[in-house]
Amino acid sequence: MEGTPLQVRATRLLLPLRLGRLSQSQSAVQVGQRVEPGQFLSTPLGTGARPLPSPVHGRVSALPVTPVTLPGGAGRLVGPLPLPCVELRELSFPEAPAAEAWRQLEGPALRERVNVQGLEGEEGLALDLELELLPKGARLVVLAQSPAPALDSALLEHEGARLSSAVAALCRLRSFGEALILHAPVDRESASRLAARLESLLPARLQAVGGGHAWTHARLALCAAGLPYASARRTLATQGYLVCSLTRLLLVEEELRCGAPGPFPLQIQAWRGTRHLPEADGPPRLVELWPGTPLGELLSALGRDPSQEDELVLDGSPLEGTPLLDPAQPLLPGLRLISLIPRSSLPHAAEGPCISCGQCLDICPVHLTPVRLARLVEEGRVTDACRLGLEDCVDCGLCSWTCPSRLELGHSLRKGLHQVWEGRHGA
Amino acid sequence: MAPDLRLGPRPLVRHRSRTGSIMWRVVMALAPVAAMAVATYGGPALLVLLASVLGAVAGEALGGLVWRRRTNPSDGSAVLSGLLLALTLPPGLEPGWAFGGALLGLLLGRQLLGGLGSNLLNPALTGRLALSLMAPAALDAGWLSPWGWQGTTWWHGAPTVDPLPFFHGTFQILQRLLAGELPTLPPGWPVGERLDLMRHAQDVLAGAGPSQLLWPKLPGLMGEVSLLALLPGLCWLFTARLVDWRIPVSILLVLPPALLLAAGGPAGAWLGTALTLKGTGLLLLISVFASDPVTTPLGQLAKFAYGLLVALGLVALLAWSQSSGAFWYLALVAGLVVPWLDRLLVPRGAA
Repeated sequence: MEGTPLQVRATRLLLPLRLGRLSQSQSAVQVGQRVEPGQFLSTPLGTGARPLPSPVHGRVSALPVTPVTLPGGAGRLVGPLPLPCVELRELSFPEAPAAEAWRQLEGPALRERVNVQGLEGEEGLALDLELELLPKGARLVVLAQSPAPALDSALLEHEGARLSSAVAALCRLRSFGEALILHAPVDRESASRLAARLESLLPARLQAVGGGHAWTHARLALCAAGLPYASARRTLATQGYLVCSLTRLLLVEEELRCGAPGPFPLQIQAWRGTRHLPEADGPPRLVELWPGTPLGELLSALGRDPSQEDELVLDGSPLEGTPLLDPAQPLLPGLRLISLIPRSSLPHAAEGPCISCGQCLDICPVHLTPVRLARLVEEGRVTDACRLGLEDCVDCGLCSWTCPSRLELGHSLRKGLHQVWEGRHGA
Repeated sequence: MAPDLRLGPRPLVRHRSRTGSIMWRVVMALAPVAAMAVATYGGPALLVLLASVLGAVAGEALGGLVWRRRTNPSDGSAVLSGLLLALTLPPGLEPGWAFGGALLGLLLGRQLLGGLGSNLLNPALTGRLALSLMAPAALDAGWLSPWGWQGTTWWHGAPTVDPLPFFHGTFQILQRLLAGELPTLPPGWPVGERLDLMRHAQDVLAGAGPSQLLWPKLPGLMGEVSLLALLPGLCWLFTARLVDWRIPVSILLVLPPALLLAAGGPAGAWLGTALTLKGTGLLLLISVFASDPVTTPLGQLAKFAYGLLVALGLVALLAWSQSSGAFWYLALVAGLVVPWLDRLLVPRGAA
């Protein structure tokens, strides 16, 4: 079956002692020491730091400082950070914890534990901060979307109970007015079953969103569903949404069931051969792996020849993904999607000036004039750009994607949005 | 990864469409018209076509050197401009003039104004305007009879005169005869009774029937050779979204009622003849020249407003002009209001 995970059992795991950006920790183990699942590998230092438990049986083979790209939402850091890590070898993987255990937990206890490392929201906020910011009666928006409808349909079928459990837990932490399930391109029938499960918890309704590019970006999906969203004005949370993809809901459920630092094993989607959006050369695969698995081992499991370098690996979708350049890069909680794209499809530098073809206008989901806004931002006229709707930009990158002159329109708009933020919050 | 890997800001994948591919596809869409013109008018038309394209490429390269601007001949923009200029020229024009017009068009209409993407004026039409100012006599002498090379050799065309002023003159004669006047007749007209003259005038005008749009019987500009050759390419341009539909549609929505209204005016009866003589060129103007993305507005509303202006201008020019080049310049003039329309009707987002 398409939704059956490909299980990757690595020969070594590389676990950064610091999964969150703000947390500082020091090693609690020594080289050569054997560790058990749940045994803490790190000692937290300072506010926000959390101990890192071992996910597996194994032996500490090294304590290297390794460049690591931390996964996460839109606020993720660009590029790798040198982080102290624990390298585990001679691994033995335990069974996943019992599914019922987490249900015994009560709200306050959950609340303390829900600041899941690697579970940053779409705005780069930790989940508990998003929950704090949510107004009463906020909407829980579930994105039943992925590059392959069949994959998410299978996910809904197999993991329906866990998804509803995650929603139940979130409802105990924060009251929601309704659950809105955006169900494109996943099939309506599967989404209806999830809605039916949720109806005992809160009013749930389905809403179809357009296909095309909507699945690539939570904010695009919101726009496609007609939900107002303005990136620079407020966060999603303060607008009354908590946006969760199916994968994120599963991560929430795993976290609440198993405790920090997150789900074991990870389930991610790996998508290969995406030369040009929206066409894909093949359906994505569901991959089950353990946190700390080096990227190279996943690629080998996916059948990629390590000697070939004709593909670029992205953490995320082709539109918003961050490149993962080092095969030793550990895959960590928060990772949802791996995209492998041919190097030949990488954009070159701007090939020429704007020819006013208007394709960026046609594709812009919020009906902006990206080329003009980009020009204003580059000229330093951000105020003028704001008058023309810069703050409505959802930072989807479609303008850059479609531009035949290969102009970095999205990047210019992003710069403008940052300037707006800085001007507002620095004042 | 290999050290030459180039990574920019996200997104890291792009649509396959590129500026060059757009230009070349437009060239391909117009190639059947050019081929039909060459087949119809013979070797001189081929020379005009080649000279115009070469002149445009030379103008682009020269402009790049003069203004120290990076130009890329392989992106097809200069070739397209040369082809477009050729389609607005009479097929028997001296090739040297075609070369010079294209060279000037690219230099003055594009490179002087900032290069590709920054030009306010369509370079092909700028070249056409330069030719009409510098060499009006050469343009007037460049008319060939369609299929006139038959019986001689394909390489030699058969010179003739611009049919538009001839039909316009005939129309004026008919109007005066109907008004009871006896106008001065041009050389070659039969001398006879008023009724005979009227019949002769009507026979002449009947020669510009609707079939002229489909198959060339009367002399025309290279781009006016036949709707049959033009339509498939235009359909492709629209279906492949290489040309924005808004401007042509807004023109075609406004044009019929405007023509009907104008038909009640003093020049109304002439409109039918003018349309059959210039219909193919009109469609080329509407679909390609007036829809050139660089010289038309960006916003959707502005495109509609621009289309409205062009449509009204077209009706006025058809009704009152007897110059074959007049309505081509409409797109040139309309381009001047584009910045104003863009400022006035710019999209302001969803908020």
